[in-house]
Amino acid sequence: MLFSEALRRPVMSISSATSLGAVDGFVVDVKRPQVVALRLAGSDQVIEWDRIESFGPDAVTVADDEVPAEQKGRVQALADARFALLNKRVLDDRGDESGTVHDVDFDPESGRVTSVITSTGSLDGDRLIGCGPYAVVVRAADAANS
Amino acid sequence: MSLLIRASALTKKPVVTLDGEDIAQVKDVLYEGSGGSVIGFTLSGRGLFAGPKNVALPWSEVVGCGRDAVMIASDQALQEQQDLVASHDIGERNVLGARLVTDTGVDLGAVVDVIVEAADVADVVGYEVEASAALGGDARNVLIPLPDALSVSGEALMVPAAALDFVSDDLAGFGAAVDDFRASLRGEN
Repeated sequence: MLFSEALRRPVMSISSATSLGAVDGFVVDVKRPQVVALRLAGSDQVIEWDRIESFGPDAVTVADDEVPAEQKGRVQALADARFALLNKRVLDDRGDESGTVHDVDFDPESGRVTSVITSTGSLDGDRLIGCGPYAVVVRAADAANS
Repeated sequence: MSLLIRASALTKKPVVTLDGEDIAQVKDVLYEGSGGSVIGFTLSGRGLFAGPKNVALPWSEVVGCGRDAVMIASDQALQEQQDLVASHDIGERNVLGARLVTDTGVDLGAVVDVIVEAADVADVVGYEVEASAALGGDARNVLIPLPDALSVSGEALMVPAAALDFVSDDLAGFGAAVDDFRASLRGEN
Protein backbone atom coordinates (compact mmCIF):
# COMPACT_ATOMS: atom_id res chain seq x y z
CA MET A 1 0.00 0.00 0.00
CA LEU A 2 1.26 3.46 -0.87
CA PHE A 3 1.49 6.31 1.64
CA SER A 4 -0.57 8.36 -0.82
CA GLU A 5 -3.36 5.73 -0.72
CA ALA A 6 -3.37 5.46 3.07
CA LEU A 7 -3.41 9.20 3.72
CA ARG A 8 -6.66 10.64 5.12
CA ARG A 9 -7.94 7.17 6.02
CA PRO A 10 -9.85 7.40 9.33
CA VAL A 11 -8.45 5.71 12.43
CA MET A 12 -11.33 4.05 14.36
CA SER A 13 -11.42 2.70 17.88
CA ILE A 14 -13.02 -0.76 18.05
CA SER A 15 -14.15 -0.42 21.69
CA SER A 16 -15.86 2.94 21.29
CA ALA A 17 -16.59 2.88 17.54
CA THR A 18 -15.42 6.46 17.30
CA SER A 19 -12.97 8.03 14.96
CA LEU A 20 -9.73 9.21 16.51
CA GLY A 21 -8.80 11.22 13.46
CA ALA A 22 -7.49 10.79 9.93
CA VAL A 23 -4.06 9.52 8.95
CA ASP A 24 -1.95 12.56 8.21
CA GLY A 25 1.53 11.14 8.07
CA PHE A 26 3.85 8.22 8.74
CA VAL A 27 6.68 7.75 11.20
CA VAL A 28 9.30 5.48 9.66
CA ASP A 29 12.31 3.80 11.19
CA VAL A 30 14.51 3.50 8.09
CA LYS A 31 17.00 1.25 9.89
CA ARG A 32 14.53 -1.65 9.92
CA PRO A 33 12.87 -0.31 7.55
CA GLN A 34 9.42 -0.12 9.05
CA VAL A 35 6.44 2.19 9.56
CA VAL A 36 6.46 2.50 13.36
CA ALA A 37 3.57 4.92 13.85
CA LEU A 38 0.86 6.94 12.14
CA ARG A 39 0.42 10.64 12.55
CA LEU A 40 -3.13 11.95 13.04
CA ALA A 41 -4.42 15.16 11.48
CA GLY A 42 -4.58 18.07 13.88
CA SER A 43 -2.90 16.17 16.69
CA ASP A 44 0.57 15.80 18.15
CA GLN A 45 -0.34 12.28 19.13
CA VAL A 46 0.88 9.37 17.04
CA ILE A 47 -0.62 5.88 16.83
CA GLU A 48 2.14 3.35 17.32
CA TRP A 49 2.13 0.50 14.85
CA ASP A 50 1.68 -2.21 17.50
CA ARG A 51 -1.63 -0.62 18.60
CA ILE A 52 -3.08 -1.15 15.13
CA GLU A 53 -5.49 -4.08 14.88
CA SER A 54 -6.09 -3.85 11.18
CA PHE A 55 -5.11 -1.64 8.26
CA GLY A 56 -8.40 -2.01 6.38
CA PRO A 57 -9.44 -0.66 3.00
CA ASP A 58 -11.68 2.03 4.52
CA ALA A 59 -10.36 2.51 8.03
CA VAL A 60 -7.47 1.76 10.29
CA THR A 61 -8.70 0.12 13.50
CA VAL A 62 -7.18 0.21 16.98
CA ALA A 63 -8.44 -1.75 20.01
CA ASP A 64 -9.37 1.23 22.15
CA ASP A 65 -9.00 4.96 22.21
CA GLU A 66 -6.90 5.01 25.32
CA VAL A 67 -3.92 7.22 24.72
CA PRO A 68 -0.71 5.74 26.13
CA ALA A 69 0.70 7.84 28.94
CA GLU A 70 3.81 8.56 26.99
CA GLN A 71 5.15 7.68 23.58
CA LYS A 72 8.07 5.30 23.47
CA GLY A 73 11.31 7.22 23.26
CA ARG A 74 12.51 6.09 19.85
CA VAL A 75 9.14 6.51 18.15
CA GLN A 76 8.83 9.97 19.59
CA ALA A 77 12.31 10.88 18.36
CA LEU A 78 11.53 9.57 14.87
CA ALA A 79 8.23 11.45 14.81
CA ASP A 80 10.19 14.69 14.52
CA ALA A 81 9.38 16.31 11.18
CA ARG A 82 13.11 16.41 10.38
CA PHE A 83 12.98 12.65 9.78
CA ALA A 84 10.04 12.65 7.37
CA LEU A 85 10.74 10.82 4.11
CA LEU A 86 8.36 12.47 1.66
CA ASN A 87 9.79 15.14 -0.64
CA LYS A 88 13.29 14.67 0.75
CA ARG A 89 16.28 14.36 -1.58
CA VAL A 90 17.69 10.87 -2.09
CA LEU A 91 21.46 10.55 -1.76
CA ASP A 92 23.42 7.31 -2.15
CA ASP A 93 26.42 6.30 -0.07
CA ARG A 94 28.73 7.20 -2.96
CA GLY A 95 27.61 10.82 -2.78
CA ASP A 96 25.33 10.97 -5.83
CA GLU A 97 21.79 12.31 -5.70
CA SER A 98 18.86 10.68 -7.46
CA GLY A 99 15.75 12.79 -7.13
CA THR A 100 13.36 13.18 -4.23
CA VAL A 101 10.98 10.82 -2.43
CA HIS A 102 7.51 10.92 -4.01
CA ASP A 103 5.83 8.02 -2.25
CA VAL A 104 6.54 4.97 -0.13
CA ASP A 105 5.14 1.46 -0.56
CA PHE A 106 4.60 -0.55 2.62
CA ASP A 107 3.05 -3.85 3.68
CA PRO A 108 -0.19 -3.00 5.56
CA GLU A 109 0.12 -6.26 7.55
CA SER A 110 3.57 -5.75 8.96
CA GLY A 111 4.30 -2.11 8.31
CA ARG A 112 7.46 -3.10 6.47
CA VAL A 113 8.66 -0.55 3.90
CA THR A 114 8.98 -2.50 0.66
CA SER A 115 9.99 0.24 -1.74
CA VAL A 116 10.54 3.95 -2.08
CA ILE A 117 9.20 5.74 -5.15
CA THR A 118 11.36 8.66 -6.18
CA SER A 119 11.18 11.25 -8.93
CA THR A 120 13.67 9.12 -10.91
CA GLY A 121 12.28 5.63 -10.30
CA SER A 122 11.78 3.22 -7.46
CA LEU A 123 14.20 1.53 -5.12
CA ASP A 124 14.01 -1.41 -2.78
CA GLY A 125 13.25 -0.64 0.87
CA ASP A 126 16.24 -2.76 1.90
CA ARG A 127 18.54 -0.16 0.35
CA LEU A 128 17.57 2.47 2.94
CA ILE A 129 20.45 3.38 5.24
CA GLY A 130 19.39 6.53 7.02
CA CYS A 131 17.14 9.55 6.97
CA GLY A 132 17.97 12.94 8.37
CA PRO A 133 17.21 16.60 7.91
CA TYR A 134 19.25 16.84 4.70
CA ALA A 135 18.62 13.61 2.84
CA VAL A 136 17.39 10.04 2.71
CA VAL A 137 20.56 7.97 2.34
CA VAL A 138 20.42 4.73 0.34
CA ARG A 139 22.93 2.10 -0.68
CA ALA A 140 24.24 2.87 -4.16
CA ALA A 141 22.93 0.74 -7.01
CA ASP A 142 25.41 -1.94 -8.05
CA ALA A 143 28.47 -0.70 -9.87
CA ALA A 144 27.04 -2.05 -13.14
CA ASN A 145 24.95 1.03 -13.82
CA SER A 146 27.27 3.69 -12.46
CA MET B 1 39.07 3.36 -12.78
CA SER B 2 36.93 5.14 -10.22
CA LEU B 3 35.50 8.61 -10.31
CA LEU B 4 37.72 11.52 -11.33
CA ILE B 5 36.89 14.86 -9.76
CA ARG B 6 38.23 18.37 -10.13
CA ALA B 7 39.39 19.60 -6.72
CA SER B 8 37.57 22.88 -7.36
CA ALA B 9 34.32 20.90 -7.65
CA LEU B 10 34.85 19.47 -4.16
CA THR B 11 34.79 22.77 -2.35
CA LYS B 12 31.39 23.75 -0.99
CA LYS B 13 30.12 20.18 -1.37
CA PRO B 14 28.00 19.16 1.63
CA VAL B 15 29.47 16.61 4.04
CA VAL B 16 26.56 14.27 4.84
CA THR B 17 26.37 11.43 7.36
CA LEU B 18 24.79 8.09 6.46
CA ASP B 19 22.00 9.23 8.80
CA GLY B 20 21.20 11.99 6.32
CA GLU B 21 22.48 14.99 8.21
CA ASP B 22 24.56 17.64 6.46
CA ILE B 23 27.00 18.47 9.22
CA ALA B 24 29.48 20.63 7.29
CA GLN B 25 30.72 21.53 3.85
CA VAL B 26 34.13 21.25 2.26
CA LYS B 27 36.17 24.42 2.59
CA ASP B 28 39.57 23.42 1.24
CA VAL B 29 41.42 20.35 0.07
CA LEU B 30 44.51 19.37 2.10
CA TYR B 31 47.28 17.84 -0.02
CA GLU B 32 50.08 15.64 1.23
CA GLY B 33 53.52 17.26 1.10
CA SER B 34 54.62 16.08 -2.34
CA GLY B 35 51.20 16.92 -3.80
CA GLY B 36 50.59 13.30 -4.83
CA SER B 37 47.46 12.65 -2.78
CA VAL B 38 44.67 14.24 -0.81
CA ILE B 39 44.90 13.93 2.99
CA GLY B 40 41.49 15.35 3.70
CA PHE B 41 39.38 18.46 3.84
CA THR B 42 39.06 21.50 6.01
CA LEU B 43 35.42 22.27 6.67
CA SER B 44 33.07 25.15 7.13
CA GLY B 45 29.60 25.23 8.62
CA ARG B 46 26.38 25.15 6.68
CA GLY B 47 23.39 27.45 6.82
CA LEU B 48 23.09 29.17 10.16
CA PHE B 49 26.44 27.80 11.25
CA ALA B 50 28.38 29.08 8.26
CA GLY B 51 31.98 29.98 8.86
CA PRO B 52 35.20 28.07 9.27
CA LYS B 53 35.23 25.11 11.66
CA ASN B 54 38.21 23.87 13.60
CA VAL B 55 37.49 20.28 12.63
CA ALA B 56 38.73 18.51 9.51
CA LEU B 57 37.79 15.36 7.64
CA PRO B 58 40.57 12.83 6.89
CA TRP B 59 40.16 11.13 3.49
CA SER B 60 40.37 7.71 5.20
CA GLU B 61 36.98 8.42 6.81
CA VAL B 62 35.25 9.31 3.54
CA VAL B 63 32.68 6.64 2.64
CA GLY B 64 31.75 8.12 -0.72
CA CYS B 65 32.73 11.16 -2.71
CA GLY B 66 30.32 11.79 -5.56
CA ARG B 67 28.79 14.47 -7.74
CA ASP B 68 26.57 15.87 -5.01
CA ALA B 69 28.06 15.15 -1.61
CA VAL B 70 30.90 13.79 0.48
CA MET B 71 29.50 10.91 2.56
CA ILE B 72 30.79 9.93 6.03
CA ALA B 73 29.58 7.33 8.54
CA SER B 74 28.90 9.80 11.34
CA ASP B 75 30.25 12.95 12.94
CA GLN B 76 32.80 10.66 14.66
CA ALA B 77 34.70 10.81 11.35
CA LEU B 78 35.73 14.38 11.98
CA GLN B 79 38.86 15.22 13.92
CA GLU B 80 40.51 18.35 15.22
CA GLN B 81 42.07 20.13 12.29
CA GLN B 82 45.34 20.67 14.17
CA ASP B 83 45.58 16.92 14.90
CA LEU B 84 45.13 16.03 11.24
CA VAL B 85 47.68 18.61 10.16
CA ALA B 86 50.16 17.49 12.85
CA SER B 87 49.97 13.82 11.84
CA HIS B 88 50.77 14.47 8.17
CA ASP B 89 53.25 16.27 6.04
CA ILE B 90 50.89 18.85 4.58
CA GLY B 91 51.82 20.55 1.33
CA GLU B 92 52.23 24.20 2.18
CA ARG B 93 52.30 25.41 -1.36
CA ASN B 94 49.24 26.06 -3.37
CA VAL B 95 49.86 24.50 -6.78
CA LEU B 96 47.22 26.65 -8.45
CA GLY B 97 48.92 29.19 -10.66
CA ALA B 98 52.27 27.31 -10.69
CA ARG B 99 53.83 26.60 -14.10
CA LEU B 100 53.87 23.02 -15.29
CA VAL B 101 57.16 22.30 -17.09
CA THR B 102 58.35 19.08 -18.75
CA ASP B 103 61.74 17.53 -17.99
CA THR B 104 62.70 18.57 -21.51
CA GLY B 105 62.12 22.19 -20.57
CA VAL B 106 58.80 22.86 -22.26
CA ASP B 107 56.38 25.13 -20.39
CA LEU B 108 52.92 23.53 -20.62
CA GLY B 109 50.99 26.30 -18.88
CA ALA B 110 49.68 27.42 -15.51
CA VAL B 111 47.88 24.94 -13.24
CA VAL B 112 44.21 25.91 -12.86
CA ASP B 113 42.85 22.79 -11.20
CA VAL B 114 43.84 19.48 -9.66
CA ILE B 115 42.31 16.19 -10.81
CA VAL B 116 41.72 13.70 -8.01
CA GLU B 117 40.81 10.04 -8.36
CA ALA B 118 38.34 9.27 -5.59
CA ALA B 119 39.14 5.76 -4.37
CA ASP B 120 40.45 4.24 -1.13
CA VAL B 121 43.33 6.66 -1.46
CA ALA B 122 42.59 10.00 -3.09
CA ASP B 123 45.35 10.05 -5.66
CA VAL B 124 46.20 13.26 -7.48
CA VAL B 125 46.27 11.94 -11.07
CA GLY B 126 46.56 15.09 -13.11
CA TYR B 127 46.55 18.84 -13.44
CA GLU B 128 44.31 20.98 -15.54
CA VAL B 129 46.42 23.69 -17.16
CA GLU B 130 45.64 26.72 -19.21
CA ALA B 131 47.50 25.59 -22.29
CA SER B 132 50.70 27.42 -23.20
CA ALA B 133 51.91 28.08 -26.77
CA ALA B 134 53.56 24.64 -26.71
CA LEU B 135 50.10 23.04 -26.42
CA GLY B 136 48.45 25.21 -29.03
CA GLY B 137 47.89 28.10 -26.65
CA ASP B 138 44.39 28.94 -27.85
CA ALA B 139 43.29 29.71 -24.30
CA ARG B 140 41.76 26.27 -23.83
CA ASN B 141 42.31 24.12 -20.78
CA VAL B 142 43.84 20.69 -21.09
CA LEU B 143 44.38 17.84 -18.64
CA ILE B 144 47.92 16.57 -18.10
CA PRO B 145 48.40 13.17 -16.42
CA LEU B 146 50.89 12.87 -13.58
CA PRO B 147 53.28 10.02 -12.81
CA ASP B 148 52.65 7.83 -9.71
CA ALA B 149 55.24 9.71 -7.75
CA LEU B 150 55.66 13.40 -8.40
CA SER B 151 58.40 15.46 -6.87
CA VAL B 152 57.19 18.97 -6.44
CA SER B 153 59.76 21.62 -5.77
CA GLY B 154 60.46 25.23 -6.52
CA GLU B 155 58.20 27.55 -8.43
CA ALA B 156 57.33 25.06 -11.14
CA LEU B 157 56.09 21.48 -11.28
CA MET B 158 58.10 19.06 -13.42
CA VAL B 159 56.51 16.24 -15.37
CA PRO B 160 58.07 13.77 -17.83
CA ALA B 161 57.79 14.95 -21.44
CA ALA B 162 55.97 11.69 -22.23
CA ALA B 163 52.95 13.16 -20.44
CA LEU B 164 52.37 15.21 -23.61
CA ASP B 165 51.32 12.04 -25.43
CA PHE B 166 48.49 11.50 -22.97
CA VAL B 167 46.89 14.93 -22.80
CA SER B 168 43.07 15.01 -22.64
CA ASP B 169 40.56 17.74 -23.28
CA ASP B 170 38.04 16.59 -20.71
CA LEU B 171 37.56 14.17 -17.81
CA ALA B 172 35.87 11.55 -19.99
CA GLY B 173 38.69 9.32 -21.11
CA PHE B 174 41.25 11.01 -18.89
CA GLY B 175 41.25 8.06 -16.45
CA ALA B 176 42.37 5.74 -19.23
CA ALA B 177 44.99 8.29 -20.34
CA VAL B 178 46.42 8.37 -16.80
CA ASP B 179 46.54 4.57 -16.66
CA ASP B 180 48.25 4.37 -20.08
CA PHE B 181 50.75 7.10 -19.20
CA ARG B 182 51.70 5.45 -15.90
CA ALA B 183 52.00 2.06 -17.58
CA SER B 184 54.32 3.55 -20.22
CA LEU B 185 56.51 5.10 -17.50
CA ARG B 186 56.82 1.68 -15.88
CA GLY B 187 58.03 0.32 -19.23
CA GLU B 188 54.86 -1.63 -19.97
CA ASN B 189 53.43 -1.49 -23.51
